Amino acid sequence: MKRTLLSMVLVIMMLSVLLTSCGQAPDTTKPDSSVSASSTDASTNEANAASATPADTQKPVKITYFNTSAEVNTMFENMFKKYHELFPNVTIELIPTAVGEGQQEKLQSLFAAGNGPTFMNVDPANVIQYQDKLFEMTMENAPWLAQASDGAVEGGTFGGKILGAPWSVQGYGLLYNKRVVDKVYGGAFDPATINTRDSLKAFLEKIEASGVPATMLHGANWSMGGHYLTLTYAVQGPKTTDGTGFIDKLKAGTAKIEDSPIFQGYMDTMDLLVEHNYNKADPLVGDFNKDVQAFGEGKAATFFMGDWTWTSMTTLKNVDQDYGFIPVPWSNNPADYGNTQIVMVLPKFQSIDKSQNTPEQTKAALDALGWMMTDPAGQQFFIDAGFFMPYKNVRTDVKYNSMTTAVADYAKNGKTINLGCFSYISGDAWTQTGNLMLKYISKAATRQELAQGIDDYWKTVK
Amino acid sequence: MKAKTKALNNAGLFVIFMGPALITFACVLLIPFLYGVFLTFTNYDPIKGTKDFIGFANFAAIFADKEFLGQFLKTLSYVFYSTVFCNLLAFLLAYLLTTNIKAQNFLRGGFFTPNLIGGIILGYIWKFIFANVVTQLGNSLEFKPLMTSFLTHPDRAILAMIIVTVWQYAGYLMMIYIAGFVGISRDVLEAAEIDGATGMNKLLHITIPSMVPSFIICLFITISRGFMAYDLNLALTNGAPYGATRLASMHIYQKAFQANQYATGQAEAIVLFIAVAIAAVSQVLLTKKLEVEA
Amino acid sequence: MRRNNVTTWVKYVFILGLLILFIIPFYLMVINSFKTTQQFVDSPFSLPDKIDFTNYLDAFVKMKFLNGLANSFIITISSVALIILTSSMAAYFLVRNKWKINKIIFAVLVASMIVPFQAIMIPLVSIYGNMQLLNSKWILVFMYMGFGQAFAIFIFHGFIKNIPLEMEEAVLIDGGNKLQSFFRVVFPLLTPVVVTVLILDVLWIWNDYLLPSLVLLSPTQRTLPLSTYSFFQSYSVDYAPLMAGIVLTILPVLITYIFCQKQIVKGVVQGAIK
Repeated sequence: MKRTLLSMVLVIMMLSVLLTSCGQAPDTTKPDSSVSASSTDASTNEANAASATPADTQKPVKITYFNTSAEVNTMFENMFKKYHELFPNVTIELIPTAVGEGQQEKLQSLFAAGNGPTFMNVDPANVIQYQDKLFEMTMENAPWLAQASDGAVEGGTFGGKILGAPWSVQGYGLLYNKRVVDKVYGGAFDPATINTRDSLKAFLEKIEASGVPATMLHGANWSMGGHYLTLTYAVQGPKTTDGTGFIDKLKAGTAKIEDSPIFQGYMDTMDLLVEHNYNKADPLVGDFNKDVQAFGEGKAATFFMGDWTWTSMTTLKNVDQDYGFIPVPWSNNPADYGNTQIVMVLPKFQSIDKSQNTPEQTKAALDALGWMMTDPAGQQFFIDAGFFMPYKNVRTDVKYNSMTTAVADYAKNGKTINLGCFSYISGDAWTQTGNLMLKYISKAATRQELAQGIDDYWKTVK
Repeated sequence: MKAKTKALNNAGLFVIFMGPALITFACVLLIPFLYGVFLTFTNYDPIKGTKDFIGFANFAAIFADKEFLGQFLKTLSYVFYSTVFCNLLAFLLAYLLTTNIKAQNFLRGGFFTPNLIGGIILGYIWKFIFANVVTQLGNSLEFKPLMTSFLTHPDRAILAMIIVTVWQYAGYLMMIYIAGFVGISRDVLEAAEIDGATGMNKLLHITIPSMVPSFIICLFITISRGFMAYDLNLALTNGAPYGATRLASMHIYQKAFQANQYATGQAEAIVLFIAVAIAAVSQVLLTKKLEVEA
Repeated sequence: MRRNNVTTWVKYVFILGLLILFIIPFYLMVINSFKTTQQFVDSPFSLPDKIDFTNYLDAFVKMKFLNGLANSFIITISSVALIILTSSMAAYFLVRNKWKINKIIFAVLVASMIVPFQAIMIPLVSIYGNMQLLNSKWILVFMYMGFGQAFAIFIFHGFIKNIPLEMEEAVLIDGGNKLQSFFRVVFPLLTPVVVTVLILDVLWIWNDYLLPSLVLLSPTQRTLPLSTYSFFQSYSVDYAPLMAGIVLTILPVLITYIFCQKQIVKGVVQGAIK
């Protein structure tokens, strides 16, 4: 009886504790999060002021890193191992992700659960989404940012604050297999000769006549929506605000995408590509391995894709090594912006959390980030993985793969499309409008329906 | 005095026997569910930190969302077809495997195997099969319908999901039907045979009516799991092509965690719950009614 | 007799044909797990040139197999043991005490079985997240206990109903208390139905994906189904090691199944009768 009573009391106590905590939690959400955010904000500033004293780096600190570039999870893992060897007090735990896993959802649930990572490699749209939670970098607290290439820091600046450090430059356009194309042209083919839709048409037909499918479209919404359709916003003008301004008009409903000659032009070009598509019989397969393999084996002469294709290419045997880029012209005027350029973009940024980590953790992350971005030992990991880093102090003797070299050449000649508006396009936008594009290329929707769908989508975005 | 100790004693026993079960149940299921119902009337957003009362706006948003309605209808048809085919195949298998067949246990075990594996893993296996194996087969046979992947056409991708669902659950349901068949008393069947009942008659008038409890369980399982299908959906199609195969669960998940509309997602989940409840309850009532009539 | 023979033949051919359809995905998975991605994109049907364990080694390291296996084991075993213990006790109490409140409780439990997980998911993450309780195996075990109660109580309830009271009364007369009578008399009688709950719950928890993906945030906590995601890259799936990883993931379950098939089949059928 005594035992029964005791356990009864215990259980009731447990129950009441649980119930009160369950009941309390929801009510405190709102004030709690705002209070903690502002209080850590203040203490972070203190930590910055004190950052000159080395004393606070002596304490062991454990921080977490959220990575959305799934293909290089191992690179970051090795990098953090090395960092821990050099600075034994700092342990960095990698939170690896994969695209299929729903990276956005994962990051969101981490933050929603009060478990936000200390620092992270994320899409620019994430930086905007979480801007209130992110640590502002300045030239004082992160002097290493001075090493960044021109314009790179601006890319990570949102609302006047540097919230993300750039770390890689990527480019995309119409990749071509040099062996296949040069053979058809009987000598070195000059991609600069393609500067109008008609010249692209002639090129595709010439290749096709030799018996090789002339191009390949990857039937996935990120490629068709995130990359191809985004061109119609970016090419509105060379400034980022040209693209975002156009999107704002679509959101407000004061412009219709159908009325944009650039949209119509790109869709005319798309029709041309669809007609010569290697995946024509089943355009939506969207199996990246298969597509890269077919392209590497020369089964298709061109591929609408970017230099990241190289990472997958290196895992294959018996594939070609020499590739270049052709622009994707949208009109028949060679002088039009976009017809002689390929896209260059800062696809990801490194950001630091200040809202759910201690000032010590934030500081440790800032130090680690500086090492990763600008220390030769840190940079070497990125170079080995084939990344083209936008920092001036990167070794100059590095020989990049043919795809990255081609992007760098376009950049050198100033022949790049500014994809700044890409930062303001969320993952949701790629999926939704990308799905419309997939319908269009598989002929399940007309161009009018596509345009209508895009307009409708933007109107729902606040 | 005695009554008082007895009541206290009873309360003590209640806490010991029921306490752990009830506490976990309440904390994990009941409280979150009620809190979830409450959230549907707010503009809850953990990132922004808002939670203000907004009435029925979330439900209004759902019924204005053509996409969700479309996906809801798709979910209904997926549930319908997978329920029908799962049960037909399972019933047939159970019937065959209870007629004196050799290696019964081995065969039963074989058909049950897919149940050992979770939806995510099954989804990958079948994705590989639909994308690579089936197309390869189609190419070598030069049979056109198989040459393009099942997963790239909206209707065929749903069909693919139904095929995998049937493959996954048929073995489990078969076990339940086997139990039903074994439970039918031999005497009744023999008596019917003496009365001159033939195979088909026996099946219709004796076997099926006495299997009603098994039907109730099996239909309940397939209907409720069908509405909740997520793992398989995620691994097999992930909504492809162009979002045409996103079933209700996936829509809810993405609404909340991808589009940031937690409260709307929660309201959709409650709508889903009501649908499951209606389907499950009316199914049970209907089958019970059949049992009474038969 | 002759006609009978023909129908028997048709029956066997039909069943074996179906069985092959049921088993062939496993066969394809195993043969392709020994090839490179390039090879199996080209020819998924061919047998591998040689038995090459590279994919397996790769998968073993990449998905931190032992870590995942240990987590899966700990979580599954603790959750299932606790579910069985607590739910059988609750079911016993509900059967033996026909109070009004017990009837209400039982009705609520049964009704809760039709609540889809999606209706719980968002508030669950937000409540436990706010209390900083996520990212622990033990919270996951606690949640499985909560989610597992209704079904297990329902099954035990049906079984205990048919156990005669007399045997327990004997213990009570000998001066034992209710707990003793439950554990000495009733619980041993529950063995067949415990097996049923055990099997169904093990399969459920071992294979579950969505709940652990929401609760277990750090990679060291991951269960096996979660670790298979390490093969997903930004743009594609690395199929060859993924196939090997899948084989590794289902191997523990498959081995258990092969050895205990008889009990498992019996257990599942047993559960269905209730």
